[in-house]
Amino acid sequence: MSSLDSYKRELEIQRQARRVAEAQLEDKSRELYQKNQALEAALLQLKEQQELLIAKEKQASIGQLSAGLAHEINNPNAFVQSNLESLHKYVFQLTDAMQVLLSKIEDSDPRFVNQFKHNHDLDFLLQDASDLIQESVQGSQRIQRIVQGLRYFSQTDQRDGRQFDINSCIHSTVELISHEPELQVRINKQLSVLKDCEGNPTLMSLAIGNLLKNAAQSHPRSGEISIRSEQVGQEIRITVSDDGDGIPLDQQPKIFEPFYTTRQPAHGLGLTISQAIVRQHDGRIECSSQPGQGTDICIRLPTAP
Amino acid sequence: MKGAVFIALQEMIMEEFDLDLWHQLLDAAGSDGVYTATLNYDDQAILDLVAALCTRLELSREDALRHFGRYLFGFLHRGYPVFADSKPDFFDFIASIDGVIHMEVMKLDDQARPPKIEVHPHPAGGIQLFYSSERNLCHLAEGLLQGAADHFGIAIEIEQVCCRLQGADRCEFRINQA
Ligand code: HEM
Ligand SMILES: Nc1ncnc2c1ncn2[C@@H]1O[C@H](COP(=O)(O)OP(=O)(O)OP(=O)(O)O)[C@@H](O)[C@H]1O
Ligand SMILES: [Mg+2]
Repeated sequence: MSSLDSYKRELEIQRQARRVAEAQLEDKSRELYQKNQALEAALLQLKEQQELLIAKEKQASIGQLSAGLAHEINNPNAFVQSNLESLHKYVFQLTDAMQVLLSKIEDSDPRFVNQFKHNHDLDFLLQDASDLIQESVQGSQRIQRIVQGLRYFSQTDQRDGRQFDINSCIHSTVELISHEPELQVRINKQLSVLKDCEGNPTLMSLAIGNLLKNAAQSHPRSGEISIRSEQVGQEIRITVSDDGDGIPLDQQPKIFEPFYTTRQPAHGLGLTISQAIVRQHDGRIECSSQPGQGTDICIRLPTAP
Repeated sequence: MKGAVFIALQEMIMEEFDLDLWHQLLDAAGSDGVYTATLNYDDQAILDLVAALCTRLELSREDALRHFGRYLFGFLHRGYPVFADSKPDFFDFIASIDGVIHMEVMKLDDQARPPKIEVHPHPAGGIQLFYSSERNLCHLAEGLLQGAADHFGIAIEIEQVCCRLQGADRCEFRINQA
């Protein structure tokens, strides 16, 4: 039999061994936790990149489709428009010619001319033909504008690799918008120093301008909308906020869809175009809105490498 | 060497002798006796403990290592039963030491340095097993092999053809079912 002293000594040894084991367990747990954090972060990044990839692919196919569509529509629409314009001229000329003819006949037989005009509703026909043609020209011009909008989707990879400062895009866009008479709101700018972004500043200005227009059209209660820029790590965030109508929750997923609109007259292309441009710059655009409270639309862009 | 091996040695001494002998070995080897299974300790410490054991019991180093190896197998198997349980017989199991068991050991701990073990069928029957390790614990390996044979309920004959301690490149065993 071992002595009591031996057991005491062994107890002390085992206690120490336990302390060592516990310390190791703690180290390993911490290590595991940190690795797990890193893994989760990596997973999130992967998911975001996957989404971006899917979005880009969609963009590319929408791009192809809309480029083809734009071309197909543009050509016939162009000749419809120019034919309508000629037609308009012809109607005027025909009207004039008929006036001359009728006045000649009127000299010898005024009753006949009166009767003739009346029977054939000539005054109405001539006026209405002119109105119809004018409306058609306007319709065709509208088609042209929409098709122009479609053009932005086909520029998937045509962005140039210029480095530019988003803040200067914001300045020039705000300047531009403030000259549009139907967008009379104050625009409050809160800009931070930003790293450069890579891409096409003209397109980016357009993307930002669409957000400002929407905000201005949202009936902001304060009569003011705001645009904020900030640098968060390697990400640039541009947020356009208003305290206007807001967007019903069930409609929020749709606002980036082409032709989705609740406004008259409107094309429902503003946000679609903004999103396409932002995606071309490897960024994302997000909406957060409270119906009746207002809307934040946020563009998140990577800084130039 | 992993703390688990030290703990196995202590368990063996306590089962077959007593705590006092273990403490005497610790004192003789100058060890505080604080071992944790998953940590790594100086290789020399296990050799010093085995040397102390040999002095105490007037055993040869070879016999002491063989005896301990046989015990160690049971100890390791209790800790990690899946390796032996997933193999139908002794020879299949032996073939999986290097590529499966010791591989798993290294996955969990990149400080671990299990030996290199190579197994081939021998033309004259049985198998040929090559063991190489800086630690030169071929007799421990022999004991482990016996322990595995015990586990699979067979009797084996082990012949050591050559030994690194006697100038060979690596140690070679011939193993046959008796
Ligand atoms: C369930 C079965 C087994 C497990 C879990 C296992 C695991 C281990 C572990 C953890 C070590 C310590 C490595 C280090 O501290 O760096 C080791 C060493 C060793 N293993 Fe295995 N082993 C097993 C079976 C075997 C068998 C059957 C042999 C027979 C050849 C063997 C031969 C050895 C030898 C000789 C060492 C001592 C280190 C050296 O020689 O360099 N093992 N093993
Ligand atoms: N800031 C906002 N506040 C409230 N509703 C908004 C806001 N921004 C967008 N919306 C909603 O999303 C719809 C789509 O916006 P989008 O800019 O794509 O098209 P639009 O403004 O209707 O037309 P377009 O911009 O082509 O003239 C809008 O009709 C509106 O219902
Ligand atoms: Mg809009």
